Amino acid sequence: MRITALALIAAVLTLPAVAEGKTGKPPKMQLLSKSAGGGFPNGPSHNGVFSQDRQLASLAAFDSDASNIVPKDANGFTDVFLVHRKRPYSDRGEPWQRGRVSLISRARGGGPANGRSYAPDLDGEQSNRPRCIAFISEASNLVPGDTNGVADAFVKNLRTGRLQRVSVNSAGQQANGPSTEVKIDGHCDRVAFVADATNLALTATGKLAWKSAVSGVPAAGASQVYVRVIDSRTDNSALKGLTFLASATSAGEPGNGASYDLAFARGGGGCGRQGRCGDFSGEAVFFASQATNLSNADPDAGADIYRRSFDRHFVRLRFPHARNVDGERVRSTLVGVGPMRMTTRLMSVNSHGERGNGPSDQPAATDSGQYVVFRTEASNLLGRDGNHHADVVRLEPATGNYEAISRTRHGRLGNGPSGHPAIGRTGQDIVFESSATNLNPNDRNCAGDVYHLDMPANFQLLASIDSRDNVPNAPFGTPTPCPRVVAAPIVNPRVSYYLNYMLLESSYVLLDRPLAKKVFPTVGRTGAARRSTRDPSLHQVYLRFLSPR
Amino acid sequence: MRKLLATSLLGVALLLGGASTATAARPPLDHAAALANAEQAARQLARQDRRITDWEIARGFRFTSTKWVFAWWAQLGDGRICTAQLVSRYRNSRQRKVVSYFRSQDCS
Repeated sequence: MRITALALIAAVLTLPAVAEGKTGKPPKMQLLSKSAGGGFPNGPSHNGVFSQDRQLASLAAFDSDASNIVPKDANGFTDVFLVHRKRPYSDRGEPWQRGRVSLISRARGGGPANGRSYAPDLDGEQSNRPRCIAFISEASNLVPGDTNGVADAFVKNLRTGRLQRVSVNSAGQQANGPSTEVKIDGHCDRVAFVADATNLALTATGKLAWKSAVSGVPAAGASQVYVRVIDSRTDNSALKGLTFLASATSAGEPGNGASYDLAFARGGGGCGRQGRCGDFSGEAVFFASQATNLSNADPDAGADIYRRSFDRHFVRLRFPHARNVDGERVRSTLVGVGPMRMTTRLMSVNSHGERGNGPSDQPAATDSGQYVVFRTEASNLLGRDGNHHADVVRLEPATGNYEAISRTRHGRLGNGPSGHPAIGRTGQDIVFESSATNLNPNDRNCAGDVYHLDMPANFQLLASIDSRDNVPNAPFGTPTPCPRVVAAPIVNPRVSYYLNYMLLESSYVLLDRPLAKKVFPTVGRTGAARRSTRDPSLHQVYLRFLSPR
Repeated sequence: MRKLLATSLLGVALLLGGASTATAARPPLDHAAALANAEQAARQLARQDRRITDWEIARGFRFTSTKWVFAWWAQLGDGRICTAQLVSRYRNSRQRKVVSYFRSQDCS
């Protein structure tokens, strides 16, 4: 009897270990930014992103100050890394396993970059595997002729290895000011970036298809949003090489204040526009702007959310037989024709047309642009908003309907600030970071966490849980409101296309318990919380497996 | 009977000969010829329709060995854009003459 009981206890004790890695499956929460030796890297990592190829999420990228993520990374600067998902995998949304890791921000000839590289973004969408990675770099030896001495935006084609600088104007001249953000559409056809330069806008052209993109010259000292067309496939016919100012009025007058926090409605396969179906390039960007001239309804300099649309007419050609077009075998194709239809619209207005009475920023949009989520301190966008904190809201631009996202399942808004939303393809699942403590009853760690609002099910899930599904650093079975040592917050969530996987940033080493127990065998909950606030190099990118399919 | 057979064979031979002559007379329609004819048709339309202020022929694809289809668009004076497919092909199976015509026209 005693032997049976002991065996039972032993079995129960070993269960978590079996579940977390001994079976060969990755833990539900795993460190993505691992060192080459499989441990914690020797510098902080940030800005994790997934490629958006459906449930596959075949690539992930991040930037890191560490020098031991790949061998021979001796440049001493922040670099961009690409993690390939380990095969086999399918569109069933199995747990994500790390595969090969490569250093992307390399100089010509494969040497080390001579400056920082950061803020990566990946393409890919419903019907296209990822082709390229975009990032910002201060290095001057990545491409020839980089003599401007400021950070530039780059795009690397992952199939050909070709690296091109995209923060250039329509004549190919380099920017005279720094770039700070870059996003790429689902096809690697169009790239949007934020730059504080005065020579990037298209001010005159003889090309018929480019005429609508002409704008004035923005003033120096305020960052602006630009879009560049880098390919001529399908709906980009005759547009390749065009760079235009997106943070401008519909008539082309440049915004008179800073624009930033870029989000791309990345396009992709789908139906809807003009009542027809197709596979479109990104057709809109969302951004925050302090400009007062982009909309008549926005007379003050507080940040607001704007949408710049640049869709285009097209002619659909159906072939008698399947054939290769631009490297893909298709039965029909779109040919983009005519100029882009440029419109700028203020998004952060309520259903009465009143501008938000507080700043709004950090937008994220679905690929079609059907939904946009953003952070707002305005209290007049939602029907009832008296919490006096920044909230995350979802707007459906076509109807003007708002939904509160940073709320309990019963509709009560968070009792702390929320922000950094990320949204999947359907727009029905949103993740965000929040310091609120009332969104989920299991949240007892008194630190910032990441939440996932499943709108159809009306569940507000605490998503930043560790590999054993425990709330990190939460006290067990105790009435005390907070743990003895409060850990650093978990921040900056990013999601895969169908929310099978999530990336987030944290300094709390016990998120990936199997790894932490190997590297820090004696560390407990309180020790991990203490380390999270004291050791900046522990700030890493983690990958959470959310659900299959 | 023998006479009938000989006449039939002669008829078949003539038909085959005619067909092969027609095929030989129709080499694949090349891009330059197709585009030149399409441009001529587009110019003619622009002359006839005074609302058209600018027009362009965008990308084209070979649909069959004797047919090309181009994407065409025009800017109207009232700001609208018209789009259409512009087809260039041989007039018929016996002639080398190329004809071009618009289809699926859409102005919005």
